[in-house]
Amino acid sequence: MANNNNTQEKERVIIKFLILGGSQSGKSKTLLRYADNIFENQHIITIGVEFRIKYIDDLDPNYRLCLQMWDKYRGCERFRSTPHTFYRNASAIFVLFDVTDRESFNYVKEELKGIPHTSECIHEVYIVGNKIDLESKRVISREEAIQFAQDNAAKYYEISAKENINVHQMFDEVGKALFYKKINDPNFTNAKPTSSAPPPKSYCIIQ
Amino acid sequence: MDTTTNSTTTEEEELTTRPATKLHTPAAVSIPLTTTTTTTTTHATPMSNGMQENDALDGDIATQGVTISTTSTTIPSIDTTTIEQRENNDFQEIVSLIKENNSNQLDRVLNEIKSRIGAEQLKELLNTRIPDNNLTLLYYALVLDCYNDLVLLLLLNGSDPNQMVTPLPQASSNNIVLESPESSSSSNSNNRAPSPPPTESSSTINSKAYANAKTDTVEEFYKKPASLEAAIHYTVRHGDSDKMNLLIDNHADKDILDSVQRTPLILASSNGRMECVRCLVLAKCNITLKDILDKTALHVAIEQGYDDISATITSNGGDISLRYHYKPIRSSRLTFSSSADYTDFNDVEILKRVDRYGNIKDQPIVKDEYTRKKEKKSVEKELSRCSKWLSLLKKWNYSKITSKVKSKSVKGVPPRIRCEVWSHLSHSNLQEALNPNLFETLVNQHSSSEVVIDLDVNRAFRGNIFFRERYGVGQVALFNVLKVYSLYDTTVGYTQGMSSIASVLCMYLPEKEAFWTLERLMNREKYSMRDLFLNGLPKIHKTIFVFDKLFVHYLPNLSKHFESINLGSMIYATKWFIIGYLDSLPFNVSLRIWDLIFVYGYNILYSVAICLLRMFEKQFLGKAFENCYEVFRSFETYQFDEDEFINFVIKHKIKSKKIEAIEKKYVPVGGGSGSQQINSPPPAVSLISSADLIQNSVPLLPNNKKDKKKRFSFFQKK
Repeated sequence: MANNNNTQEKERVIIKFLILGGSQSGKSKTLLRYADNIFENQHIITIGVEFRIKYIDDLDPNYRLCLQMWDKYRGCERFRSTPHTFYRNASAIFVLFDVTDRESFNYVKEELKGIPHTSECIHEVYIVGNKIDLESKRVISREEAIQFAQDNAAKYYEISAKENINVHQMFDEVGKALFYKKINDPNFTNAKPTSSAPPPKSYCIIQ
Repeated sequence: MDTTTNSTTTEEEELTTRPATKLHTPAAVSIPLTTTTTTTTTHATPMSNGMQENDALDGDIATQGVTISTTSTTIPSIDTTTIEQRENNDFQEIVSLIKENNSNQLDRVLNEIKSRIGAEQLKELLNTRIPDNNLTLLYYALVLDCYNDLVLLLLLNGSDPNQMVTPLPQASSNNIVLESPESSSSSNSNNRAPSPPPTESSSTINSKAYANAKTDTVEEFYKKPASLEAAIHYTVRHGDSDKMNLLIDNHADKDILDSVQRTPLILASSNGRMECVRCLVLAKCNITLKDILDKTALHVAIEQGYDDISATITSNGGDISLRYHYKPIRSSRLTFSSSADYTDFNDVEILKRVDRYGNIKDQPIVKDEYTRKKEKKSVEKELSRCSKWLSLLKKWNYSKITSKVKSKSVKGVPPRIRCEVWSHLSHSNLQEALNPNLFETLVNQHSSSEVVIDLDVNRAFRGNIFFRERYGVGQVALFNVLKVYSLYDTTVGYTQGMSSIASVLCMYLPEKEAFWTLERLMNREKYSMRDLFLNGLPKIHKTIFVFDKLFVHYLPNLSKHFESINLGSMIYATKWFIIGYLDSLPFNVSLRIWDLIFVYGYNILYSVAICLLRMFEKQFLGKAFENCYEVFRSFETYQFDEDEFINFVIKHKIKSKKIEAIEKKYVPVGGGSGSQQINSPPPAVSLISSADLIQNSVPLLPNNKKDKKKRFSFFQKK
């Protein structure tokens, strides 16, 4: 969030990412790795919604990519009642699982079921295998995960938040693709998001 | 040594292609066919795993070799019939091929024999013991560290992996059986049948091994082979997971016991063979079996300090409580978890960085003269407050919280008497007196929520010195409190967020008191936090509804702004209302808020929320969504003047009548799956969750107003 003055002239293009996944699949760690480029050895319990913003300036002279990263508080099954507002306007959903934990892989299906399919929630889904640094403990093979992703019409990535493998590449790649798609979209309104005026609703939605 | 020169010329030719360096066991010396015995080359063997024990044997080989060789010379003289001679030759050819580790040749030979005598006969032949060391061919191949395909070949052709074998002697252990000439000659008659191990000698070895176990240290016991074991035990002891998997795939019993009742899993755990443990657990072996010392694999792994193995076992159904409750005295290994969160600092370094709440900071805490003086003053103040509190506690009025108590707790409860004050305020001490043995009874029972609790204990307040050590004192207390609560109230069980509240209680209260205080926080009407953690989180929806109304009423501008940028209160306030600001504000401030919760009840949280927003209103106004969120995040590091803030909250305290009036307007909307529960009264707490408790005739806990009266009368009588 540096250079606030410098970049204020640019228009922000907001893209919302959701990070879902089973307990201890590394959602918060992945988020922190990407947004702050740190990895805390300490475990964190996310309560409520964890939220980070990442700006990318060098993509286009006129626009500034603003990635909103949402990380949902899950933990137990009983938190399923997370309101649909969480999913609203999300451009891409990343469902994480731990490649060393079969249960977290099975949970991906549950998460996929929970994603609402309404007109205001059009998003791409990515399935992400985390913790690939623990190769020796691996239970879910790459092939199995790819197959699963194909069956669910999702793209598959493998990352390691701890060793910082592929985390930035993944989010950057997806973010950039959505960014260009958005600014090249003829329907994209050049709404000026002045700091005081509320942004129009269509501003956040990729249709 | 050279007395056993019975070899054929063909054998010798084959042997020259591959030097007979495989002779590193005394038994090997005795096989007649291996007459080119050059025992001096033992150390050049490619045996990697068996190296240690066999190296030490070098000295013994000469003497033992001689004794055995006398035996082996007698074998051919007894076998008289040609068929037997032939089979004997076949057998010895197989043995020699195993010794050469020549799987291609063995494949050919086995096929040839199979075509000649049939599969059944071959199977029988393969299960014949090698006369000199009484090993099975399969076990022998393992000892010689043969290639995997050779082992597979034996298995596919019918070698029984579950036969019990007396392992070859180790340098130090005494359970060696050298067969006397008589016994071997007698076993010659049933040579072809899989000879069961001589029962007499096995029993003696058994008792010997057991005696060893008693006299040796436990560690040695687990490092030694038993007097009788199956092939899988050998692979596990040497950490050869590939061969172990081969055996398991070919009908080896994965729960087979050796003569001291150790399963392969126990042996793998005791020897730190992580890969074997993983494969065994994945193969769904029985993890609950106990050995002769009455220990399961998990006991052993904890004892030996193999955290990754313990974790693997518990994550596959092992008893998680054991990791908290089983504390063997360990000599060498440190108890830090394998993730080694803090091992890069030594303890003194950490102590320098601990603040007064036990939280470990990034930097050593340096105090200048001013802060020291200030601190000294505050400590003196606290001491005088302590004595005042103590006199208050002596004549505590349970039925009413006096204004004196209120004003004192607004000033902050001194940490050293927080235990007493909190339990008096919450009435947890009364509850405890009513159910004196409940905690002790439940703490030894198993809860279905253990797995989830274990996960969360691992990450609750790990930055605090009390909870820093994995499975340390603090974590044990926290685990016990949460587990007992999950057993006590099975409807709620365990829900994320409870761990944070329980952690704070555990910091100031002993585990039993912490449990009862948690119980009161959950079930007493004044706090009724139970609804927060029920399925579907009914209370949080209600709370957010009330909060939104209050927000609009007190801060109309800010609420409009938040609405315009689509920042719903669900996003930022959920956390506040579930765990009472524990991770959203500086720790000292949230502790003071908790003091207030105990006095004023749950509803004080609304006042805190409104006051917080009011304080930061100017920073929020005019900001975009993400900047507002940054402001929320900055709360945690904001330098609050805690006294000022708390006074501010009390000054603007929202009357509970007002809150109740709004609550009445709340109509639960079907949002989540469990939201229909909101209006219905919560299911009665299952106060007695086990038959034991009924037997102990624990009185039901009073939960409504009528019962409250009873409780007080009970206390006054006392």
